[in-house]
Amino acid sequence: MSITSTLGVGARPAGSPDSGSAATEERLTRSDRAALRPSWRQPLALTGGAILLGWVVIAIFAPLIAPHPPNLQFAAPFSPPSRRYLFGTDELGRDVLSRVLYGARISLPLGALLVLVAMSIGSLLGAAAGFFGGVIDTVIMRLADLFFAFPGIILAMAVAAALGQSLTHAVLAVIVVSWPSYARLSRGLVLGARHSEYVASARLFGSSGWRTMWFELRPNVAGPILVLAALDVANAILLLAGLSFLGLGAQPPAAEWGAMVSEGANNFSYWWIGLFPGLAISTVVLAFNFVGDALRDLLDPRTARMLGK
Amino acid sequence: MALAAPELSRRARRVTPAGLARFLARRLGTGLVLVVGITLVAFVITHLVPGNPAAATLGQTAMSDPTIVKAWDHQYGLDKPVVEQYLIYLGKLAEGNLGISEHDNNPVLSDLGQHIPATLELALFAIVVSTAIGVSLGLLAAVRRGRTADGVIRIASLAGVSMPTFWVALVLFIVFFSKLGWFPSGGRLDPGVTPPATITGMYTVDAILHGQWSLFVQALQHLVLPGVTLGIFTIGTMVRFTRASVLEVVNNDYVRAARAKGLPEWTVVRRHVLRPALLAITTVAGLAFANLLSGTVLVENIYGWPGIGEYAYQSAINLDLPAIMGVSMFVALVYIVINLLVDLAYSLLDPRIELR
Repeated sequence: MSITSTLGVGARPAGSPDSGSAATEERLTRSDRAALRPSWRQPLALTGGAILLGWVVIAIFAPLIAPHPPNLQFAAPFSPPSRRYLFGTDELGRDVLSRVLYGARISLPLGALLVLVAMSIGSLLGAAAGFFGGVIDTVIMRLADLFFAFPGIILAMAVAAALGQSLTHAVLAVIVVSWPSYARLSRGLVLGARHSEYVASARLFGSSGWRTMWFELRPNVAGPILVLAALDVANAILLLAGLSFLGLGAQPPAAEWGAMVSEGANNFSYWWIGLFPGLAISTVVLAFNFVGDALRDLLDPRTARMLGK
Repeated sequence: MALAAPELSRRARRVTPAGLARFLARRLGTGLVLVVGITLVAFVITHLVPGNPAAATLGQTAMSDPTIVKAWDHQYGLDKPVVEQYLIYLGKLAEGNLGISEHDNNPVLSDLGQHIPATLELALFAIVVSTAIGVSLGLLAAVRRGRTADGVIRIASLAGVSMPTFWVALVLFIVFFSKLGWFPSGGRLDPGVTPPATITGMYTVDAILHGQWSLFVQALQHLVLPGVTLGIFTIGTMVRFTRASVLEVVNNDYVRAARAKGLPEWTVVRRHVLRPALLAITTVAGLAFANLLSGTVLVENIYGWPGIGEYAYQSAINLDLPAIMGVSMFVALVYIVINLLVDLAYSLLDPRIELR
């Protein structure tokens, strides 16, 4: 979605037809906006939060909740779902339910971790570009443009394949793909704040460039970046699972959801093998989207516009 | 963006032929730089890392014989310094030569030519289906804002973008092929069936052009499952963008004026709401189409669809550098061209918009 802004140039409305409505929006306080929101929107965020909380609990207590160890080959292979094996068993006689529950311990922490890393790298580079300008700006942002223009999944596949097929490398690949959007957003925010009086006064008090960025700019630009991060976790988890599905991420016998769907595709006559791990991915991603959606409206209406969404 | 009334926008066009030419030249120039830059990124990434193309292609036994490896490296110029390799590649690229695939030994250009129509057919099918459904649902949600229909559509569209495509592909495959047997399992035609003589390379279109109706039906049947899988994600995106852009238009005074002067509701929606909202929808549809072209990897993988995504996947796992760069350049080129078209369409739909 970002390519229009990638190329920088292009069609923009002449004049600024939306400045009027933007001003109105900004005059509203946070509680005003919340009150204006249709009532069904709040439950959506709450539902998302509840689902996520559920998955976090499952991830932490998987060994206590799961009926069996994830890789124990103990049952008859391909047993359909029954009271004994709620989600059935796979080709090696492993309990699918247990594997799905343990899968939360891979996708959730890795999704969060890689978004954190991509966010840190991207926003730091973007802030430096916006703050120092000149050659630094040009080099960093042209680099970001390049990574942006590169089709995401193909870049991720190439990186993951080149590094060798492992989960760590797949995580690296997703980071390589995701940092530029943070760089672009944080550069824009820093550019907007750079000429504020509080920045000028900090500089006049002798604060160095990096110090000013950390103590003055960071607190003021963090909001929109965190919203982007919250929205991005969903994409990151999807991409990571996709790489594992292709065999470029988690390797057997890891109980990773994407890899499990792939096993399900290899044994498609036994629908339960692929169905349940895919449902797990969907619920997690849906929950993040519920929360991210509400967050985007709530925290900052400008973010959506800056992201071109 | 709140857009003013179409009625107010009939001002003189600012697009002059010379201005248009300048715009095109600059955009194509930027695009070209990006495309070359992409080859550089692909080149650097695949060279900085320990992966070994020879090992990926030759296999274990051949790898243990140093002379074979050496000959192989020599054949593809992999024994030259890295910078020289890249310069050679750029030189050939300028001549329109994308190199030879290290994996299947065919020229990358002809490989691309073989795989692109398959993906194009799939993506076109998906974008037509998802735009039709997505725009209708988005419009419905916006018109019934805050009611039950809106809520249901919103949740459904979020669900659409939350389900992993590879899983949707698997579920549809199991239900409609494995259980119900309504659609074929994969590929572009039944095994052993001769495809229609190539005109566009898209089997459905070629079959129509040749008047081979049964072949057309068969090709279409093969298109449905992968096409719908791809479309589901896009429907979600289209719904959300349509709803948002219609809502921004619908509160304008000129819409109220149109209602007040007694126009039927449908006319108000069609002429005064949908038309300005089309702007945002055009962009999204264009970009979604570009996304489809690169996003087919996972779907093609399940349905054995011999398209560009499957080619990209094969090149990646074989570390087939010329092929990876070829695919990446193709997809980037599509993005660039589609962006250009979207911007041009913008200025056609809304004369107030300046081409810069």
